[in-house]
Amino acid sequence: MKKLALLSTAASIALLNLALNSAALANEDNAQLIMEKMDEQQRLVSDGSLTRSQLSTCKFGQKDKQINCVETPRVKVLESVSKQYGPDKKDSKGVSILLEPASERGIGMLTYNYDDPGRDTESWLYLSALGKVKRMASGTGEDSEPVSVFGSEFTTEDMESGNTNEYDYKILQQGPFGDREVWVIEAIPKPVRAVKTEYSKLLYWVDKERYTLLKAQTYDKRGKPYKQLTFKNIEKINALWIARDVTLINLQSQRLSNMKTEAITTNVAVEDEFLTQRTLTDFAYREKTLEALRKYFQ
Amino acid sequence: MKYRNRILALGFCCASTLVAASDDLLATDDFAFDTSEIEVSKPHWTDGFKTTLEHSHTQIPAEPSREQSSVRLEYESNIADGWYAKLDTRYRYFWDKDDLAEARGDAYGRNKLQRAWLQYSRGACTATAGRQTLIWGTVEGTFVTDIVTPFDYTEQLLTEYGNVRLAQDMLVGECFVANAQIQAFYTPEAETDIFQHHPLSFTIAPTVPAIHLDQDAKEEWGLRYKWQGGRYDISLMYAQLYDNTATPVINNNSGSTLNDDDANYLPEIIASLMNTGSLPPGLSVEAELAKFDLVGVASTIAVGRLLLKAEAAFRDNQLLRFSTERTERYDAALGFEYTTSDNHIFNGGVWATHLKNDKLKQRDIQVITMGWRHSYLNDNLVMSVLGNWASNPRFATATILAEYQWSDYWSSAFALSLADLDESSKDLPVASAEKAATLSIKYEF
Repeated sequence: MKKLALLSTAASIALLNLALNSAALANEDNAQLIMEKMDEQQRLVSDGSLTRSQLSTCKFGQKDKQINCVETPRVKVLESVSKQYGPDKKDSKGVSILLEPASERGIGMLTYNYDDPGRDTESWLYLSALGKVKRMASGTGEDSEPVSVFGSEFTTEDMESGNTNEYDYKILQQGPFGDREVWVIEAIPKPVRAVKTEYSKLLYWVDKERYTLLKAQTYDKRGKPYKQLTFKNIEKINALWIARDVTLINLQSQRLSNMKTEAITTNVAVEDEFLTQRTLTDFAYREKTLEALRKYFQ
Repeated sequence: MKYRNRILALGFCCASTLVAASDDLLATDDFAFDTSEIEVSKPHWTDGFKTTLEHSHTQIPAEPSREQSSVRLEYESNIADGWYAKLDTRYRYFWDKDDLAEARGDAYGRNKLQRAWLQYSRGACTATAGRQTLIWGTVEGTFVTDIVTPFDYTEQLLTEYGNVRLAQDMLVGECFVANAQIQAFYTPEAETDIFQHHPLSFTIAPTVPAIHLDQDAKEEWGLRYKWQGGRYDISLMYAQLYDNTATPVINNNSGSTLNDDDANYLPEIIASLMNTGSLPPGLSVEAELAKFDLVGVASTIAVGRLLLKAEAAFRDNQLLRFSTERTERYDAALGFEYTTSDNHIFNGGVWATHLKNDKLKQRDIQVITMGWRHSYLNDNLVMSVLGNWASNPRFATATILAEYQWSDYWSSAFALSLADLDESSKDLPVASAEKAATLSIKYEF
């Protein structure tokens, strides 16, 4: 009887373990699905879009929990057009033109990114001083160290979409965050990502209803808090939720970058020809096309 | 299904409890940043304007320095549907200690209309008329096919590569069809390289009239077909061009008999000058611009992080210095650019020139270029090193350049250059100083 009871207890523990493991697996599956859905929404935003963004960067000072720029922010204004391609719309083509500051005005970049990790990124840079288009060779980008985007605290890694299969996700917590219901999801880089990331862990606060980020926190390789991102002014534009104000606070360099989407239009018809090298040198064509798209700005 | 949901709920419950015990992730006590303190830049009619103020000083030991200030005004805008205009003008002042001012006798100022063009786009084609540059070629630092636009050597060579090119009045038409780009240009009166702002001449002996190297070129035209794929592109070029620099040639008016073992008659001329104080009878020396045909091909291939570049060209009717001969010329260049995973960019190139004339001895030229570039401090500091070596005339140069962006408006550049020149190359109008340091300060708004 005692043996039976022990067996029963052992079975109960085993069942409990199984249940907990299953729960953990289900949790991971769920977290993975949430991140994939959020990533898919991000791709929809990029599919036929024109944005005018302002990227500001400054050193900050802190008093209690309030932070402020302690120097005049460096400001870059750029206009970008992007479109998704491929059967799952996982490939992308985009062109970005710098409008401010004056010293960099006119620099343009055309980039083709492919979901296939074996296919190289193709990019061309328009050098306004020489009036010449230069091909760039950066490989697949998969083995590149993250670099600053336009001199800001955002790195190429922070701007990446896709690659959801390169992390192990887990829902840590859920509940109200401010006035929104969120999941707090932990992302741990898998070995394939660990070699090329500057983060050991990422936490995402995902809005349950809108599948948008409200906050993200990254940790460096020593596990120390590194960057904190907050997403504000979240608006529904053409049925897609978009954060128009994103601030990245680098807790280690004591610098912050703020990206404001001044104007945006999504789900517009972008001619394939526009996302070619012609756009970098044929200004009359470029402006004619952009003027037509700017009419839909919100 | 219900069971699964319960387990899921349990999992969430346990995970939440565990986390809540250590850290409440749902608390909203983050750092607060009031983003409204950053002003949003709105489109404004002045957006098309850009003004640049710059001062640069080059210190050369035991030689006149270079000291120039400039103000530049640029404007570009979409002026109507399908029409775009660009204006770029620059006034430079050469201070009295500047070597060009010293050569003229006093400080002076000069305005240069760098670009002034109107572009019209319709359908798949675009036409651009006015003052502009046209840069062909792929291998940086070599001039196999990049010879349409001449140079302005009165500019500081180290920091502003765009200013060094001398724009011409041209009509450029381009059509874009699928992956192909077809380009045609016409220049009614081609420009030539500028070395100084007063007549350029040289004297080989007091008794011989000075040779004026300022020669006017006439019309030029050319075509380029470029096909671009994902990983590579190829360009085919044909053009009728004039030399960008005049060549002193021998005019044998009376059919004087000269030693024709070598197409270069300079030794005979020097001997005659030393013996008689004059040129050999019936000979004169004059500057001439060759009109020639250029046929070229250029290609780039991207292989991962490696960019391979190649160019080859043929030119006919090439003039030879101090000769009555003309010849054909073959150029080829191979180059690479490699970007490391942490974004150091290395580049290099080899350029070889062969003149096809059996009488010529040792006239083939080889040039090797090597470079490195990397950005630091959130792209505010850009460091680069450039080195090159040439076989004939023999010289080697190395330059270290640091460019720092202090703010959205202020920037500075500092360059140190060293050159190892043989005696013949020291007389070249564009010869580098053996040691030079350049500091440039710029304000752009």
